[in-house]
This record gives sequence, C-alpha cells and structure tokens, in this order.
Amino acid sequence: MLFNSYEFLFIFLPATLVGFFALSGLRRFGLAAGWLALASIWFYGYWNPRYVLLLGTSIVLNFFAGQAILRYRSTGALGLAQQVLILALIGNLATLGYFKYANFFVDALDAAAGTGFHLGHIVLPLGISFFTFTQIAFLVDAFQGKVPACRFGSYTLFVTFYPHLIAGPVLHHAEMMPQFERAETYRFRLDNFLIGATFLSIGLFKKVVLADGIQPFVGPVFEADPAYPLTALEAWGGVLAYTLQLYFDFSGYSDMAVGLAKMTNIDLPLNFNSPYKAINIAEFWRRWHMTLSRFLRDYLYIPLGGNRKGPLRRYLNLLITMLLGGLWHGAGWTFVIWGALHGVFLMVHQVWNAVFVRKGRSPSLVGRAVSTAFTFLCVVAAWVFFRATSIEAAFFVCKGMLGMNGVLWPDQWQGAAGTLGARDPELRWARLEAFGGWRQWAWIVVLLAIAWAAPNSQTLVARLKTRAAMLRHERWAWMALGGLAVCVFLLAAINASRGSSEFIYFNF
Amino acid sequence: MGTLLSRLIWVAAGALSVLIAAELVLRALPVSMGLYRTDQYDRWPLQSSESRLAYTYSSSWALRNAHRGVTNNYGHIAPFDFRKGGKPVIVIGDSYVESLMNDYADTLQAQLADKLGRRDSVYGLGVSGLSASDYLVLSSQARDEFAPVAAVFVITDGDIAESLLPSPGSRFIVLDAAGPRLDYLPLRGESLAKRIRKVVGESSLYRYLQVNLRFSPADILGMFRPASAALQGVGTPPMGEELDRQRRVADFFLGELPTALALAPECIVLLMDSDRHAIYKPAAATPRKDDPSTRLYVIERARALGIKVSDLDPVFRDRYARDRMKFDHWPNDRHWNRLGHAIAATEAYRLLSEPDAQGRAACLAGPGAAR
Repeated sequence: MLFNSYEFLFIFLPATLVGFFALSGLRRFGLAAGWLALASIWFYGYWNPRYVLLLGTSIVLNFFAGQAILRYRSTGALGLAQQVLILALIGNLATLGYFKYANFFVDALDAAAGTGFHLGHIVLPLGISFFTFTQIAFLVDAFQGKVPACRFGSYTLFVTFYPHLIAGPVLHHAEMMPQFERAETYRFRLDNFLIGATFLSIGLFKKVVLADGIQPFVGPVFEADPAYPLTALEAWGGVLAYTLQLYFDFSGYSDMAVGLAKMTNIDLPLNFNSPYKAINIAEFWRRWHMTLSRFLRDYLYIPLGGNRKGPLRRYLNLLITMLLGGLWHGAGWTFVIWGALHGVFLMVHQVWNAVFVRKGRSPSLVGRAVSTAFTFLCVVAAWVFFRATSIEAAFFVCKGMLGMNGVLWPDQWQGAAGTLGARDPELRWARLEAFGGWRQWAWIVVLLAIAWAAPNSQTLVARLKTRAAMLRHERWAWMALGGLAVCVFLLAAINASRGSSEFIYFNF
Repeated sequence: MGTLLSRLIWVAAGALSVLIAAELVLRALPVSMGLYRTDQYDRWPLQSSESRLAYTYSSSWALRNAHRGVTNNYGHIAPFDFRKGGKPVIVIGDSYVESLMNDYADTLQAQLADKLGRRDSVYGLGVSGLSASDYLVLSSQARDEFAPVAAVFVITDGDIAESLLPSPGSRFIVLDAAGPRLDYLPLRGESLAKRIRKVVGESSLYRYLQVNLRFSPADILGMFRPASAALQGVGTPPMGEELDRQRRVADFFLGELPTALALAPECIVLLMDSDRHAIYKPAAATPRKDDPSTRLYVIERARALGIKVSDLDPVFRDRYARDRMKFDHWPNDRHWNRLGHAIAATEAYRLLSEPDAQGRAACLAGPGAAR
C-alpha cells in the first residue's frame, strides 16, 4: 500500500487514527500501541502477506537476542553477550544477504570463475534493508549498554511503525521507544495533528506533482536504445531530471512519514535538509538521507576507526563506508561504483580541507556559489551510476553528457540524414529521441529553483508553528485541517489519474 | 455536541476555502471541456455536439497539449461550416478524426483538403467513442445530407469489437438468427452524470477532475468491491466464438458500406491504423481489442469487395525505420500527431487518385472535391 494511494489515504489512515485515538481516549495505552502495531503489520502484509512471517520472525528473534544480551551484560557475562550479538548479527546479515545479495554474488562468481551456477529470481521483501539495519543498531547498542529494558510491544511498534517501515527514516531505538512508552503520546493533540497533516500534504505534493511531474523525462535517457547515441542536451536533461526526481520523491516520502508519525504525537528524525544547497560533499551527506548517514557513521565508520587512526586510515574508512553504503542501496556494480565515487569525493574533500582551507575562515559568497555548483555537479555525475541499470548504460549516458555524440543534435545527422530536419526545425527537435522540449527544461529550472532557493519542509512547518496564529486559535486549526484534507484529496486524485506510482526508495 | 458541530463547521469552511481557491486557479488554466453531445438524438452523430460551442482540450493532470476552438454548424471541429449537398470527401472515424489534440490544419481532413486544393472539400466527421456500427449510421446520414463523392474511414483498434457492445444513445450490431442488424439503445432521459454536469458543468474544478483526471467517486468506492469479471477479462484475446463474432461484424460493416454511402466501393477508403507503440518499442505493445486476425480479415474482405485499403502498419514501420519520427503524442497519448495525420492523408489521397478503368480519378471528380 502506497502513502499516495486511495487505499492508504481514505481507508487505512482514517481507520488507524480513529482506532488509535479511540483506544487512547479510553486510556487503554497498551491497546492503542497494539492497534498501531497491528495496523502496521497489516500495512506491511497488504503488499505480500507471505513476508509478514519474515518480518515477525525477525522481530521476535532480535527482541529475544537483545534481551539475552542485556541479561548477560547485567550478570557480567560479556563473553556470552558477545556470542549472542555475533550470532544475531550473522542471522540478520545472512537474511539480508540472501534476499538482497545472493543473486549478485552468485552471478559475480559465475562471471569471474565461470561456475555456470545461477539462482532463481529472489523477490526482495519490502523494507528489509530498513528493518534489518534498525534492529542491528538495537543489538549493538544493547551490547554497549545503551539500551534500557523494554517491552515486546514497544519494540514491535518501534520496528514496524508504518510511517517508517518500508523506506525509512532509519530509526534509532533510543529516540523512538521512549515515545511509545510515554502517556502524552496517547492523547489527541490538535497542534501535532495539524503539523503532521501539513508535513503529509507537503510530502504528497513533492511526490505527486514535483517528482512524478518530472519523471517522464528520465526514462527516455536511461532506457535509450544504444543504437542511437544521446547528445549532451538529451543526456543532461535526463540526468538533471533524475537528480530532481530522486530528491523530491524520497524527501517527499520522508516528509509524509514524519507527518504521519506526528499525527500520532511521534517525532521521527528528519531525513533531508536541502541537500543540493550543500557547499561540499561532506555537508551533502549531512543533509541527504540523514538517518542513513548517521547509521553508517555510528555503526560502520566509527567502529572502523573513524578519524582516530591517522589520515590514511581515515580515507580508507571513508571509502569502505561509502562502498558499503552504496551496496546497501542495491546489489549491483552500479551501486558499488556510486558508493566508491562518493568515497573518493569525500577523500578529496578531506585532502582539500587539509591542504587549502584555513581554519576559521568562511568562504566568500562567490566561493560558496562555486562550491555549491561543483558539489552539485559531482552528485549529479554520481547519480548516473545510481540510476543506470548497468555499467554500460551508465557510460552510455556519461558519453552523452560529455558531448561525445554531439551537443544539440547527433553528429551522425551531419550527413544526408541531417538534411531532413534542416527544412523544418520543429521536425529536427522532434527527432531527438530523449528530448522533452521546452517543457522538460521548464520543469528542470523550476525544480532546481525550489531545491536551491525555497525553504524546505521543516522550515515551512517551523514558520507555521512560530508565526501563524492558527495554533493559538483552535478554530483556525480546524479550518486549516479542512483545507489540507481537500489538498490531500486533490493530490490523490492527480496521483490516481496516472496509475500506480511507487516511491523510488521502495526498491532499496 | 456543540463543540463537535462547531469544529465540523470550521473544517467545512476550510475545505470550501481551498475548493474556491482551486476553482479560481483552474479558471485561468486550459482545463479540458469535453464536447457536449447534441440533444438532437435522431441526428447524432452527424450533428455531433452543440453548434458554435467553444471548447478547450488538454490532456492529463498537467494540462498538456492545450487547444481551444469553436464547433461548426454541425457541432464538428472545423473552421468552416459544412454545406448541405456540398459533395465533399468525408472522413469518418472516432477521436482520431475528431482530433481535439491537434490543430485543425494538422488533421487528416485538412491535409487531404490541401492536396485537393480547397479547404472545404473535405468534411471531417469524427466523434470520440464511435465504432463500426456508428460509422454505418453516420455514413447514411452523411449520404442524405452532403451527397459525398468519396469516403475515408479511419479504422482503429476496437472499432469492430466495440460495435457489439450496447451503449445508451448509440447503435450496436446484433448477431442473431435473423442475421446481423443494427439496433439502438435509447437514452433514458438524462443521465445522472449529465444532470450533475448541467449544475456544476461550468466549474473548472469539476471539469478538471472529471475530464483531465478522469476521477470518478466509483474509483474510491471500487476499492471495496472485487474486480468485476468484465474488468478481469480486459486484454485477453478473443477466442473461438468471439473471433467468429468479430468476423461477422466485419462482413456486415463492409457489405453495408457502399449502400449506406451510395458510393461505388472504389470511392471508399479504409485506413487501417496499427499499434504504433509496438513499432517504437516492442515492449510497449498493448493488448488489442480487435484480434489481429480480425484486422487482417477486414483488409482482405474489403479488398475483395473493391474497397480500397491502406494498411498503415508497414507504412509507419518504413517511415520509422527511415528517420525515427513518431506518429502520435508518444508516450502520453496514442492519437496521431501532425505526422501521423500527414501519412494518413497521403495514403488517402494516393488511393482516391488511383485512376479507374477509364484512366481518370473518378472519385475526386465531384464539384465539392474538384480542384
């Protein structure tokens, strides 16, 4: 079930909220939490009921592994606690590895050694990367003594809570479980509900209008026929379109998740903070998919030694972290290259900082603009590998971006074939396979302006909280809710008019 | 209770405010307005919609490909009035001929008229949703009204199969023991949709939802119902009996055409459209409503009866192989674009210009079509 579907918006969400607040109103907090957990599991099972068993088993085993670790720690049996941790980590990684990476490694082995062995198609359970990472963090923290005792109900809700279950944000138990156990969560708060509905509407707008609006210009470039090389105009148009589609799609999803949680008084961590405004690649990663960056930093980069073992080791740690971060997104060499590129970008940035940047000196306005543009170009170039279905396809697009096949029109038109378009300029444009006309570039310019110059969702909502009188006058808040309900309906109708539109990060 | 009511009133006020704002914004935009079908039921589809009706066309949520215009005296899309007894070449078809998504000058009828040298020598009689059964009725209506010298039919997928489906206000073909015949399912008063449209039809928001987004409350209500058998069957190829029914429809349609038009078979041209998306990308091929064998059957039977046929599939394929130009508003809209219409016009002109036994293009000799 997608957040942007009629089923979710008009049936699942109202039913879940009514049930939750009804039980909360009766002061049955445990039941209310159970209702949310049940609804979340139903939400997950709606996609494929078979994988509810996988999710349920994962939750039960990880919860009891966590409890065992806590118990052994409390009795001083650290060795046993470590053994349970290692066993549980192997179990989690093996499950993830089977569903997500088995085909990749078997095919790679076949390519390298000619084993001739292939696995059948393995369906990737939705959200497996997210709920596996969430629980790995829980186990590691339990071993490090950072986890207080918790109830199974809260733990289940922490893992399954429907706003984050499928595509994040990647949650940390320390910020979530206390929220499920406090009494304030279980009462209707108009201000939180309105903030949540606002986030939901902004996220839905980003997905339905912005991301899906520019999406048609992406496919023609990344799925182009290799027999007809892309010009620079076409390639850049498609790659920029994807750069913007991905941002508005994923940040739209994250806004919706934050909003849905906030409606039930739960604060989810923010996942985006205008990443394309970043002035360097390190800042980009502090603004893009922030909860994954945090996870990779806390549970991979720092355990590897972080920056505590000298510059060379730091660079290596950065590269390893980003390589694995790339592989987390998908089992394919394109994701490995994407991760490696970002690892190299981060290393170069570290070296640059060490050699050229004087501490305490902030860059000039021009310097910031140049840095922002350069960072953006690096990110855009890397997205080519993130989106392409193969390395060959990625290089095909890169060649186009470099103008190796012509800038506006293909070089091959310079011969006899080129004369056809010369008589009719309109025909000449129409003959470009992957060029969406002025409309495509208008989309790109407008969305770039939004990404670079407009306030992001959290800034908009913060303004609503601090400046608007709505929250202080209840009737205005109810009025705003009525208005937002109509907006959500209109956006859902637009979405339905185009058929089903999945979120890109559902694939990861 | 008072508090609850007061809250509901404020929620409703908020909702209404946004609805009004949306209405104001959409009024400034080219929201599509479907053509209102004429109330002269006995004259439809010759009189297709109301005369002198200003319309706006745009497709999808993003209001793509906007066009505005005014219908002519017969409610068709043309920048001139049709003349009774005008002896034109008539072009009959569904939304492909109606062609709301193109400028009139880009349409088959306009480009064919260019070749004939007179703008009003070709009348485009296209109405969205028509099928072979309606074409027969429209042919006889046009015969009585305009005395055409030649007729061109654009045959698209579904024209045969859909003519078997009873639809209120349309003719359909009945296949029973007495043989194939045309039947009519009368409109029972005004439909609810039409009554609603009369009340809120001027609302741009309503038109945006209904026409551009194709929103229907049934879409939401439908979530509570299992998919109907009819829907589940969409896209499955007709087998056995259905194939036979389609062939009988084709026989009936082709056999009746010369009489309905009062034209010699050689002055009738069928332009057989094809699945163009499959030409661009085999993976983009779509399930056909008319079985592919039915399509071939129509071509063979028509030629056997002396009717001229252009199978546009190889024509489109050759052209695409040459310069990879697309013939429609790919990928959003399957209707022909200027190039698709140009190719159809060229084919129609080629066939109509073919000399007869006396070595002259007899079909184009009438006053309306003369150079």
